[in-house]
Amino acid sequence: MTMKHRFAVSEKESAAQFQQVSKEMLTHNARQGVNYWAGSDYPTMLIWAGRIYDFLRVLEGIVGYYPARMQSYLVGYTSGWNGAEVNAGILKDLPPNDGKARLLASGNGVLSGAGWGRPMIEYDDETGTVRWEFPEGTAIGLAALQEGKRVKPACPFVAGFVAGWTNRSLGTKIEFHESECVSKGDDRCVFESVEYMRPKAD
Amino acid sequence: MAEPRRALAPGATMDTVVMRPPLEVSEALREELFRLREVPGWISAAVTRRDGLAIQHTFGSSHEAASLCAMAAALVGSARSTGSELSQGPFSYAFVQYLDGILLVMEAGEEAILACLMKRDANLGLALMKVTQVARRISARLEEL
Repeated sequence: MTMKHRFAVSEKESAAQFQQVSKEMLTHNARQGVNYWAGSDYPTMLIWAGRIYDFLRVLEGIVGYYPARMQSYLVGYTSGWNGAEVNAGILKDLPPNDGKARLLASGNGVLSGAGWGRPMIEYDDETGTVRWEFPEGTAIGLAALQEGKRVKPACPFVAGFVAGWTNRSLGTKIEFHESECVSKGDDRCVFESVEYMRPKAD
Repeated sequence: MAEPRRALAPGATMDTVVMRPPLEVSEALREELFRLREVPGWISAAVTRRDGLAIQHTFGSSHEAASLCAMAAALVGSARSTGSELSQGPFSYAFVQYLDGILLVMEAGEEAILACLMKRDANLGLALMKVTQVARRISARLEEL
């Protein structure tokens, strides 16, 4: 049976996710002064969202938007894939028939709890389309807006992240397009799945 | 101290974002790329999106093509930025000569780039003419999408 799924995080749940994701699941190695998340052996640290935006901003100043977008996207992609990979090991309540959607759904709690923004995920398992919407914007989009309104989206890192998370969860090979971004003056940030995307010319 | 419980495999998933155009277009693009075999000294070629994601190529492995495509996009992007800074108008094409070979990059329409790797002694005049022709046809095929 096919169905449309919609996963959202309330403000109250977001606050609870913050306690769990950004506090309880972090382990501090006092000797190193380094944090580790959820048992992963990769160091985790707090960083200004604007500095993630800088990876895009600086690179696009040199090679232009599209190559800069892709490099940022690929870094985000690995982050999203690995995040879902770790989370798949944490979730002990994955039902046999709904494990993929459940893992996908867990992404919104992890992101809001980590301070990336509070997303709502829509997944149509008949068409395979997936949509991640951040009604209040992503942290990176909001940070970019602080530096002035943009013409092109500011969150390819997040687009890559949701692509990696989605593909690891659903076993798909989907690419994501950022159709709305608060840094452009939109009300929200929206990432929509596409089968094959050709970036349009300026 | 945190005890690592699991190792991740960063980078192992990168190729999963490589997308392909519809099969019919993909075949047509591959055919166009192989027309470049007529250029003496031709080694391999690829057509990439402007962001560096490979669309089609003639390389033996996707990994080789992915590297070339990413770098070709960065090269064209840098050249465009430089042209803009120096008020020299739009980018057309670029030859990059190395000790062992030559890389020719050219825009194939507004949304793609054609990159062609050749031997150092390739006939550049002939290569430029053929690559220009192929780039135009690739542009037209992509417009059909």
